[in-house]
Amino acid sequence: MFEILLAVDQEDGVLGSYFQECANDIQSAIEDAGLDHNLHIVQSRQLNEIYVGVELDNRNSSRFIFIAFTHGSNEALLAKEVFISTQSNVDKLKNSLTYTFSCSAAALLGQELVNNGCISFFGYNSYAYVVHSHSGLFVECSNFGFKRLIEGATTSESYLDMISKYEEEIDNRYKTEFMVSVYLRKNRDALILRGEQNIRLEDFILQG
Amino acid sequence: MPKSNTVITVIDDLLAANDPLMVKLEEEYEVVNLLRSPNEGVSYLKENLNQKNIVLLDYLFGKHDPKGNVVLKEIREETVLIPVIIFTANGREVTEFQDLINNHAFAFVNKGNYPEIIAKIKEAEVEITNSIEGALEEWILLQDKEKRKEPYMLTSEGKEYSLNEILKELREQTEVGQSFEKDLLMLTIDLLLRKKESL
Repeated sequence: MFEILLAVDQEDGVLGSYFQECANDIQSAIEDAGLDHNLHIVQSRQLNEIYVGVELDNRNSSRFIFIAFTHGSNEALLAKEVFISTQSNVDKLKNSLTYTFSCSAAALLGQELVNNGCISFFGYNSYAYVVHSHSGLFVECSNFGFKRLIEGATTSESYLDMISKYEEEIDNRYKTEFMVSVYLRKNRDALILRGEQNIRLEDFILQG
Repeated sequence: MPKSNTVITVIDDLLAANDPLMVKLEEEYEVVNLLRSPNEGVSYLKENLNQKNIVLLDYLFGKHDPKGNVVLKEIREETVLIPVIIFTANGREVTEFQDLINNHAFAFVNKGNYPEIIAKIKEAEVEITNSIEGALEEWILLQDKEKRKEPYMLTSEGKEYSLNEILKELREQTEVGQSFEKDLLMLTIDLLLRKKESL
C-alpha cells in the first residue's frame, strides 16, 4: 500500500483553483491506476507547521509520498503560513518522495530536504507559471512526471519525460500561441529533480 | 509605392499645414497629424497608444507652453516605445540635453534639414518594426479588448498579470516588462538550438 499526503492550497486568491485542478487530476490518476493507497488531503486552513508536522510525523518513520500544490519560496513551502521551512522542520519529509509545483522550492529547500532524508524531490528552482486560459495544459505538464512514476518509470526517467512533455507542448504552440510557449519553456527550465535518480514508485510500497 | 501605416504625429505651433515637410510626409504616410500644442499632442498619444506612432516634437513653444524636454517626459510617463524626434530651429536653444537623453529622445534634428528629418523618421520606423517590444505590443493589441483585461499569466509566487498589465510594463520598460522581452528571446534561442527553427 502507498501512503500519500497531498497538500493543496485551494483557497489561494490567485492560484487556488489551479492548485485544486492539479490535486483533482493527481487523485484521478492514482485511482485510475488502481494503486492500493491511503490518501490524506491537507487543505488551505490546515496548512500550518503544527498540523502538517503532525501528519508528516504519522508517516515519516516509513517511506511515503508527499505532494504539494501550494506556493513556495527558496526556503519554504507555504500557504497563508509557512508549513515546511529550512529554518524549522526540514527533517519532516525524511523517507518521502516529494513532488511539488511550488515556485523556487527546489533551489534551497529541495536540497536541504534531501540532505535531511527526503529520498527524491521534484520541484522548480525559480518561479513556475500558469497561463490562465490554458490551465488544463499546465496541469497536464506539471503532473506528467508523477503520472510517469505511476506507470513504472524511475525518477530520472520521469523527470526527463516531463522535460520532453514540456518541449512537445512548446513546439505544438509557438507558432500560434507563443506566449503559452514562453511560459512552458520557463517552467521546463526551472524543473529540478534532487535526490535518488533511479528509484521507482514501487520502492515506496509499505509492506503488511 | 503604398503608403506606410505608421502614424506620424508632428507637434509644432508654427509649421504650416502646407509646408514642404508636411507634403513630403503625407506622400509617404497614410496618417500625418499636425498638432499645435503640447497638451493636444500628449492627449492624442495617450488615446492612441494602440497604433504605431512616431513623433516629431518641436522644442520651443509659446510662452505658456512647456518646452520639448517636459513634453517628452510626459510622453515617457505613458510609454517608452514611441520614438520621439526633437526638432529645433536652432540647436543653441536646447539647454536640457540631459533630460532629453534620460527620456530617450530618438534623435535631434535641425528644422531646416528636411532630408535628415525624413532619414531619422525612416530609421525610427525600422527600429519599431523590428524590435521585440514592438512585436509583443502589436501581438497584445491584436487580442480581444475585453480578454486583455482578464488575468492572463499567474505565477506560483502569487502574482497575476492581464495582457493590459503586461503591455503597461512593456511600455514603461520596467524590470517585469524587460523580462517579458527576455523570455521571448530565450524561447527563440531555445527553438533555434533545438533546430525547430532556423535563421
